[in-house]
Amino acid sequence: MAKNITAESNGERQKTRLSSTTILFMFLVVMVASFAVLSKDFYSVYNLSSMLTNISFSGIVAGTLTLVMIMGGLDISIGGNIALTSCLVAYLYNLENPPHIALIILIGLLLGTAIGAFNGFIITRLDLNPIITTLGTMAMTRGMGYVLTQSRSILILENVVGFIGRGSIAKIPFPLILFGVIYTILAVVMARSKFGRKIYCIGSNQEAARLSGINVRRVKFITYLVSGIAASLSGLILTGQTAVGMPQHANGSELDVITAVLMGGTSLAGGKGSVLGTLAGVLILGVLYNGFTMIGFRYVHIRVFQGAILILVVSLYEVRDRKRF
Amino acid sequence: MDNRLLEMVDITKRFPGVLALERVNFDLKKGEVHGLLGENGAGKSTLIKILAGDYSKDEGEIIINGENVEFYSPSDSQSRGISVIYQELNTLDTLSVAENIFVGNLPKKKGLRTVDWKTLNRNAKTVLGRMLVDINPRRIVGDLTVHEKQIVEIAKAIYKDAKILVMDEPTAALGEKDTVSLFNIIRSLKLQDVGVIYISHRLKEVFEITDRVTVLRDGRLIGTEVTAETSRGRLITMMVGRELKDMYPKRDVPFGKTLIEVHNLTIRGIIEDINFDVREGEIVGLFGLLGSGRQNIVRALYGIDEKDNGTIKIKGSPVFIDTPAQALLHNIGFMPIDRKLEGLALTMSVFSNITMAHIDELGSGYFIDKNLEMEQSQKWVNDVNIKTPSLETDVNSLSGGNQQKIVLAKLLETGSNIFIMNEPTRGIDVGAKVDIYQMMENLCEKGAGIIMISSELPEVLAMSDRIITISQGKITGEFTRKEATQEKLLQAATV
Amino acid sequence: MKGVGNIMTDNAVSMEEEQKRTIKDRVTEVFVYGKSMAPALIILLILLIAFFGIMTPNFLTYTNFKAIISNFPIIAIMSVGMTFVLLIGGLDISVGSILGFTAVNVALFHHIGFPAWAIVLVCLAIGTAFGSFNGVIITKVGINPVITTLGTMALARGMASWFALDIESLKLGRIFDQKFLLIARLYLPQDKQIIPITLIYVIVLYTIMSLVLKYTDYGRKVYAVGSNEYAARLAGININRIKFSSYVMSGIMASIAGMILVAQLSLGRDDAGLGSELEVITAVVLGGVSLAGGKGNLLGVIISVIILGVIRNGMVHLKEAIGISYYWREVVKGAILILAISIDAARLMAVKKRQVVRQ
Repeated sequence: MAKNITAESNGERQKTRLSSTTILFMFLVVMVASFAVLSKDFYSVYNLSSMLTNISFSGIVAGTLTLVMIMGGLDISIGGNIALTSCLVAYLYNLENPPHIALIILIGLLLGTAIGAFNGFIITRLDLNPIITTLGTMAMTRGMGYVLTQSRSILILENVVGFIGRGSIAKIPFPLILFGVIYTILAVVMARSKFGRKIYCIGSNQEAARLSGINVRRVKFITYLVSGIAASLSGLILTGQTAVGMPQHANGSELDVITAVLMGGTSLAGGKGSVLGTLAGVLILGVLYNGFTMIGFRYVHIRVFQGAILILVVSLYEVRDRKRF
Repeated sequence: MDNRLLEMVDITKRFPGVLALERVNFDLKKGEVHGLLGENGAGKSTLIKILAGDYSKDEGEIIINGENVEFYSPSDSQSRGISVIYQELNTLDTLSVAENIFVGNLPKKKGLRTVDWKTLNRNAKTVLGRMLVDINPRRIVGDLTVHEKQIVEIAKAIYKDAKILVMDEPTAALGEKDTVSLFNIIRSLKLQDVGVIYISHRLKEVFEITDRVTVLRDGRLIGTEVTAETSRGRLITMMVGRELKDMYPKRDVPFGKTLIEVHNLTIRGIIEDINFDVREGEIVGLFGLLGSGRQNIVRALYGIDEKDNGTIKIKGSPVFIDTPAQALLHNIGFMPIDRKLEGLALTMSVFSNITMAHIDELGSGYFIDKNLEMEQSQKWVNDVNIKTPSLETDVNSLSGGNQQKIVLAKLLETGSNIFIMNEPTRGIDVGAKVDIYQMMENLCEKGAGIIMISSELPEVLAMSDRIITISQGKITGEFTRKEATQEKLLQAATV
Repeated sequence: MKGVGNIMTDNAVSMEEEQKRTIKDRVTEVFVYGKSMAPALIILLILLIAFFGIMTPNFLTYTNFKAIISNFPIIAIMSVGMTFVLLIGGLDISVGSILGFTAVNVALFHHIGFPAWAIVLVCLAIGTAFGSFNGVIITKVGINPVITTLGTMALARGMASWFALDIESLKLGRIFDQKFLLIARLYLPQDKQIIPITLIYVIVLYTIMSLVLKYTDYGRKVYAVGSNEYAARLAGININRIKFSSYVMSGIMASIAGMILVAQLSLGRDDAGLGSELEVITAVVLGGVSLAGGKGNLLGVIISVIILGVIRNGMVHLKEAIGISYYWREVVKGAILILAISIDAARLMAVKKRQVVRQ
């Protein structure tokens, strides 16, 4: 009866999930090795550090998106959230009499909370389709970013924000530390906490969960809320990295993030998945994109791969599941 | 001259662990209404699903108009003139009546082959006319009443020139007037040599509309009788059988204080002025036919559906129950009628399901105390005799009986003392049934009160201390165990 | 009709009875049963026109009318495809990217030297290819339409940028072939420039497709599949084929829109149509086509498209008049989408409530 908690999703059959996550990590190792061979710059400290920072940025939202998807929902608005946060922070900083930077950062996070709350509220109250709803929120938030900045980029050269994006503690990039901390928290929450268990139950059978007295509305709301906060945190990281707030930030990032989560084994239908799987997915995609860039592919080529990988990965899982029945 | 439309010979069907049908024989003549009776789990729906092409048979033959046939899909069955009208109706709700009747086969204008709406509507009116009904063919089916939707489905079958029409509990959701209308339609079908297989629990109706009646029990054919030559009593005996009496525990628990009282429970248009109470150690059975309103009563009680009026008192004090969470707080546990849809998270493990309604109590902080969870789960697995390879097994892979036991374990884990059990032994094997009955008795001994909904007469009679009959949304009778007989119950339920 | 007998003559409906369906009945059908969003939308449109007309000068002019008309064919055409997809109960968020990829290819093939008619064929091929790809993955492999079209969206957009990148002279993607430009630049009559040909395209397309949806076997099957897949299958309808065809339709519409856009701007850039899927989905859902499938028609859609066009145009005027930032347009689009699906959800819930039954 001993359970390997860290490797497994809460209350799920061990065998198959374990092997797929393990396979993913094995694949990751193979990939890293290949790229190291193919490109001599790949293994440099600089590259690894910047790659890991990039991974952290999208990885954080991928983690919280995992929770949303296990619950059976979806949040496409994260890109818009990130963009608006960066715009707002940069805008506030550049005011005539800017508030204290700590306050600005707080407002940024509150923005994410508000967006998440908005999503959570209308999806649970009006029982709307989460995909289309968050599509709408994405348009609204990114649009507000454009309004705020009048479609321009706003420079923000500031130390705290810069530290969030580019700083390091003991040579480890700060975003990576955030990433590690957040993932640990998420993994523990999903594997061992009561809240995490409720998310799995709702994703597996919402009605059964409701009849069992689980406050479905509240759990859903909180999950979307958390997704919103994570997105704005990522927004801060991105602002720090790029030193600008602009409405075009994170354009298309929702694809990356969703691909990473699905690659990790989370099912769109809900009730299945793990944070660890998403970690593998995030790492694999991050290494893949970085490695390809090192080899010489350009951004546009990678975009094509993104789409192909998504469809490929989901197809593979679909075929595998079908074989089982 | 052979006027047999259909013969099913020695039909046998096995599922893992269960022999659903054993050498069942059934036949249908032209222009005949043949009733199919049996308790839940007797095999009626399995037989029909085989006829409909949804299930395959393991052994036996199906002969239609003298010809041996094999069905590999519902379309095969349909093309042979068989139409099944299920309880849940399969209408295209966003389309019109006419379109539903002729779906896939719309009349077209010569030349361009465009849809000829005028002719479509006219034809629809004609088909409906054959059934002596008058529904505007342009109306959107989603707006119709259940009976009107039924009519549309029947019309569709007639148009398809169905020779064999199966109706599964057609009057479950119908009122008096609509039932009369339905019977008129059936009679007009008889005149057109259509054969009808009529599945129903309502003996009164069976005697009214059927020509012959076949009774199944535990997957076997018990007998086929000519309706005019048989009696209610005989049919009941055939349906029920004697050996079941040994399944039930001796019910011998003294009653305590009143646990729960329900006053004036009303949902407009659905249930009216329901009053009853349950004492410690007591099992109150709610007996009624499909569509009587029992589901609505308990769902309102447990806070799933809204009520328009009514008070609930627990141990004398009025309580507000608007959500299942609140009901649980008041120690009410609910076993839903469909465990797969409402009771279990099929992709999750045994222990997760057992603790699902008690997650907050698994340890004091934010985290689940794994040891406590396993301990508790194991306890219930032992107590309720759940057969599973391990606590981590997905419940999906367990048998129906064990799945139901897990639902029961879930309720037990919450420490409830008022239980609402909705068809507790539906679709499970005899061994599991016995276990569940024993658990119910144990609970009563510990002072719990149980509200049990059941459509199985023997079960209701053997397990309930008191039986309340419901019909058309109202209480029509209350019987103690001593007073109650199957006759009286059925009588009261078909008022 | 199957053999009936005497009952037929008694119950046959005569021509007069048909015509007796009074105005009252029709009005009831439309408003009470909420069958069509069209009336409500027309009212909304009138209100909006009144609003912008009052708040801003120059709104109610003929030149402005032409400006509105010039923008909306793209969205209007893509909305037709999206309508088909939504009707069968699916979703296609790759349309904007297919448009973009088509645009780039127009520039590319123009550069290579293809004549106008050949370029048109290439575009249609592209739309068909992507639509078929979507259709196969969704019906054969069985992947969720959202994920599939999300992937195709990235694929198509990526390929568009990729092509645009590698062909240096296509940096601006200028097109000079007069014959091709005529696709979008023709006017009726040519000298007085009153009615742009794109308007004609839209009118013809919507008319034809409305007829297809209402009067062809295929059209009715589309509705049947969206309404109840199981029942449709039982009725012998090939579900996969119908679904597949709707995605192909969506793809082709997107590529046609791409062609027209390039012809209008004489520019084939890889960011063409970016974000347009949002507007298209908004237009279709607002127009009364339900996300659940099987319900809705093109009349509501075209009015919605006009509404969105009016809003877009009106907001530009509003900027000049009051100074509200033009960029609120995106926010408004998102808000309208959420509003549209809320209305859709409310209508669905109203139907469900009516069906509460004694159990």
